[in-house]
Amino acid sequence: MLDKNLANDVLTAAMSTGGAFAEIFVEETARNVISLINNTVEKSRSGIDYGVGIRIFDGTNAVYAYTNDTDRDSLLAVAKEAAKAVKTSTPSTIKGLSILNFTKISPMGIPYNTVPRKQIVDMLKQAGLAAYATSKEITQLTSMYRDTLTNVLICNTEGIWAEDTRNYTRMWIDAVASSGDDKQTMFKSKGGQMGFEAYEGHDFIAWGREAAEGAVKMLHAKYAPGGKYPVIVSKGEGAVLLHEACGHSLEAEAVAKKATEFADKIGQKVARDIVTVVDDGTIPGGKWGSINIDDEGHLPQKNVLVENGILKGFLVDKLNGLRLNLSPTGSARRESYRYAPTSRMTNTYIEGGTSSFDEIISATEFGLFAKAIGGGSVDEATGEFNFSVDEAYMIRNGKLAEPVRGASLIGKGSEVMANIDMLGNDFELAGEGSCGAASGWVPTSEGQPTTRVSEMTVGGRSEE
Amino acid sequence: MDLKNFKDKLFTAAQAAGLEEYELYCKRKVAFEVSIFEGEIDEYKNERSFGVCFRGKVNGKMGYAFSEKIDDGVIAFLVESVKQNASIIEDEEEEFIYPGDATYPEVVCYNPKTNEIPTDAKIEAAIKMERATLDVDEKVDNVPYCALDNTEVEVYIANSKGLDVGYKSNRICGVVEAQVEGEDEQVKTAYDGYDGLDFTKFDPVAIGQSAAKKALAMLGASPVPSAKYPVVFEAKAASEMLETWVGAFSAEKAHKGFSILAGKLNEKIAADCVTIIDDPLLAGQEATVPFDSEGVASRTKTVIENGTFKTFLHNTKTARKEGIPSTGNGFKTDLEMPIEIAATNFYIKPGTQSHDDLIKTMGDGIVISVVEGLHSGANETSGDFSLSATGFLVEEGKIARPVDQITISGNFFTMLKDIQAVGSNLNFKLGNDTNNAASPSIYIKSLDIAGS
Repeated sequence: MLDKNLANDVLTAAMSTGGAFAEIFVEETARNVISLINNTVEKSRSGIDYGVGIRIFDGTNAVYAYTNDTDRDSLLAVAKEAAKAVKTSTPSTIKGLSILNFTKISPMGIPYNTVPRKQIVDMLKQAGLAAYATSKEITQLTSMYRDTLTNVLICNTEGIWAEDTRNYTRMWIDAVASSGDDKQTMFKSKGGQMGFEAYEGHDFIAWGREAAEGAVKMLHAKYAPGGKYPVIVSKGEGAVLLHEACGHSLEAEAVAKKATEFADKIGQKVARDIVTVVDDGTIPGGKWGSINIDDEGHLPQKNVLVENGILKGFLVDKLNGLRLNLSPTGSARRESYRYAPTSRMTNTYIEGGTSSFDEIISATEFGLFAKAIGGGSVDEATGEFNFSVDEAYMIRNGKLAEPVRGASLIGKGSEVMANIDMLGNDFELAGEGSCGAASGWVPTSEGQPTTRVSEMTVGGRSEE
Repeated sequence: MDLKNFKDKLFTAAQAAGLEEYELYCKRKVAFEVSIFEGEIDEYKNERSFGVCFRGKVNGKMGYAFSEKIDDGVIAFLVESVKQNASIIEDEEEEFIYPGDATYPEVVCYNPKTNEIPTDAKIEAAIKMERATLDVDEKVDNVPYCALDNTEVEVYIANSKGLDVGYKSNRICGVVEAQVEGEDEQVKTAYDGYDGLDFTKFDPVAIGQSAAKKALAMLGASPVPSAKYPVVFEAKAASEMLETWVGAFSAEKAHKGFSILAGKLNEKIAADCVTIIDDPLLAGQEATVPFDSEGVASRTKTVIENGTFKTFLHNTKTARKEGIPSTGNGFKTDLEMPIEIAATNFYIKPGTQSHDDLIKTMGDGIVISVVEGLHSGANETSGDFSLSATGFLVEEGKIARPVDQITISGNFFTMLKDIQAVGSNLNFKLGNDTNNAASPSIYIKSLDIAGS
């Protein structure tokens, strides 16, 4: 992707004013997006992102520059301009570049460009027809297909030369059920970090039907009552709770700035004994959040963040590792060449427990079962987070009761982690998440067993 | 890169490949950003980017392609991709290539002085902003985010119908986040910023002090009991609410059944005190442009007038369907995106009461200063929302104490009708280059609040 001699010259130019470390990130991404409205193909686009990012460490700070113009003169000019901003002179050498070999853990069976667009459209339309057929109350439908194939080169003054390929494919449908002006939606997604074989054996008819059934169910549901009470979060995608309550707050970017409630808590009890939290980028088989190599050329790791309730570690990138005197954990990621990398999540999960789903429900006198989760966000410094629930059920007298709609759950991360009091034996790692932070949007996945939090604030409504 | 030469070669190839009509959209961006931490430059970033997007019609259907890789193969790639993508389009409504307008308005969206600010002056301003934040009070113990960025964007659009237009815009933006710690290790954060064309109007000290004071005002916050309360949204929070539902005013969404405003033209959809304007001609705002992404000349439009719904926002496709002229709202929200519909500077016309007047009028209720979770807890189609929020409890017309860990729930379209009064403090700060929604403080009859 870049001539080795040119790479050496660019790194040399970048280090010419005393930088401590320099890195080049080259990215070329091919992308296709097809969108359907009401089961009719509306828009289709294809294209290429392409650029080079040059990073220089100025002591424990960084200079970052990027450009799409990758000819020799342009790259050297960009490197020299960036080098001018370096203030601290650190004696350092540039090591010879040697190829890093590593395992590609996510497969690419059927390349995306071998699948005719019409075939993709037919699959989505099959799901759409099934959604419409489920109920007359399904009035609108949005569906989409997206694939990205990325080639990157990471090389740096520590001698790393790593070339990687990343590929993601995803489809989703959003069914809208209406009754007058009242509308409810249900979103379903399917994909994988693999070739088009991600969809092999996927039942598009059942998928479409489930989206429709969910939307209709919510249309006829009452609002959840607002207040503070126990919440049982579903296995799998329910772990958006973990992601927002805890995950972001353990990224070294926030820790280095003391802008997270967990900054000083290594070695302390942050949750009950039953809780073990892991971030693992090494899970093979096309898991959405897995990586072959991080965006600094480090191998991914299985990082145990919380072990039996004790906070053990953070997710660390190179720069924040220098600031905190911690080793990188293979967690440096970025959305594209437009961003410098920083510490991010991969596949983040709570390990399974021992209770059955039924035991957890029956142990709850009154509460909310959050079955399908939307997204969320967090302010790491205060720990205050939120996430939305797309499909939920009340729990009354230890039994699942009526469906309810429209709830957001909020809380303070450290409090919620400490209030996880039951974990199911039904662990699941869920699908295709998109996580946004300082270094842009990166693909992540979440996992957990059925999880009970003894108390959370539920943003419900009273009936009109 | 010789743009004219590239365009000519591309158009020749498009013609030869049988594209009926076609358009090239180019965007160049130069940006500088510096972020400060503990008095030092934490990150220093330079950006230079250029990309092209090409759309073309085959058998009346439009396909799109884009590329940031401008090499020998790019023209063939763009033409072939456009053909492939056009071949699967089924939308019966035709998308149009616009020949352009005879004249375009002069707009203020570029200040040459902004490009002349020395880098050191920018760095110094950012450092000052951090320092001013910390200096307000010893409880301000951290500034997790303090950055200044300066961007310039150039857009060029040319098509087979003879359109050949371009414009330049630039901007300077400074944002700081203050972190404070009070009793019992309670941590609160708040941010403030400046964005505009004029570096001389950026007062880093005032911005820093404002962020710190907002965060300090939240110390001691706790929830309120769950109930329905009258609410005054602070201007920034009201702006973010409005931005979330701008899509409902899109003619495209209405035509496809995704807007509950469909069929409601000339009906009362908001309270009498609500007038909403979409104005791409406002001087110096973030979405100020001389023409939209189709090359349709910008013009101001009244979307809601004293509560009555006057017009949807259109592009040429939706306008043609209704036999009216485009409202100039055909935008791409990013280089690679197709032409859709977006608002420009979209704001609620200010009233006469100050924010404090609104609180006095409300008497007892809640002021909402921050809402979170808009990207997930808000349904764009139905208007339903359930959001995390913070603010203040108001008793007898005065702020009593700060409030946190609450949710607010309701329906945006119901809320429009329940607006009791609109403040005079229209706030355009820290917006977007499309769908740049802004509002003064607004007083709402009642919303569901869940807390303790």
